[in-house]
Amino acid sequence: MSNEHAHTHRDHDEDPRALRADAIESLLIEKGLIDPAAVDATLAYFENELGPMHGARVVARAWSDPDFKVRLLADGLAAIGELALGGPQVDHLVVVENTADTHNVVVCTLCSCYPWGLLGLPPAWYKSLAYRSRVVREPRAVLSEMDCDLPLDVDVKVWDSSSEVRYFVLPERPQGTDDLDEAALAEIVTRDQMIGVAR
Amino acid sequence: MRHQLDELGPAAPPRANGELAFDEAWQSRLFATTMAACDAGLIVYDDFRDRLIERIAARDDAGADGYWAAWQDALEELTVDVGLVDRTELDERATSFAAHD
Repeated sequence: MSNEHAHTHRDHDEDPRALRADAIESLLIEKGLIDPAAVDATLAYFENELGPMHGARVVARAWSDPDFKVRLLADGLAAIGELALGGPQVDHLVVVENTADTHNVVVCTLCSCYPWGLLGLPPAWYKSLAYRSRVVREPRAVLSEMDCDLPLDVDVKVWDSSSEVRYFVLPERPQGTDDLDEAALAEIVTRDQMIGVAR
Repeated sequence: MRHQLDELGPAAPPRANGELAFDEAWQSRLFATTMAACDAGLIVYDDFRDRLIERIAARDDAGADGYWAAWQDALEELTVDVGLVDRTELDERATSFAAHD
């Protein structure tokens, strides 16, 4: 288990500091001092659980409360403030709505601006040069590679984030969810949908 | 799960527009290893932070690379000092990883 684990993040990395980081992690694991699952869970907490839950609450509220949705689309920051969300990392939040004929996807071509307070840490691919440069030029191809195939009659809009403005995608409410309450809806919303790389 | 982490001050991790800034995968693994060691009670975050601040102050390179290098030095120093690992085995392990790659 620990060997397999170590291999997954040691690929091609010969930076002495990377080797030392692996060395201390593997020693602490081998000595039974830390659980490899705890390291993964800590990373996952910062990468996934910290933020997407908040963003998912926003989406679920918008799906459940049409008046909230109107306010959210008009002034994202004020609306998420109603849920006690926001904070210093989000100054201007523009929420873009997916519809039957429009799909929105968010990128930061300059660096990795991201609505951290809503979505947690950005995934590694969000920061990759490949995503940042290609999603603007050929969004359909990039989305397709990420298993998000869009019908040709759906327009794709790409939103380029900046330190001033963060974009956040409001996905379409899935069919067959009429009997779900807001809490249950929040559980089906994914981070990738709110970035716009999933439909 | 709740993690203690400085948001402000010299020990606060670098952020780019508010996000924790990891430039390399090893930095996020190191961060998670450190937090797991704190959660397991092996080290005390405040002790770690004191050493981190000293290490940062001793470096002249600002920015994320210097910060995470200081973080690594502080974690190694603390884990060696409290007897979790020893310096020789750390060095040997890193060398053996280099040889296998």
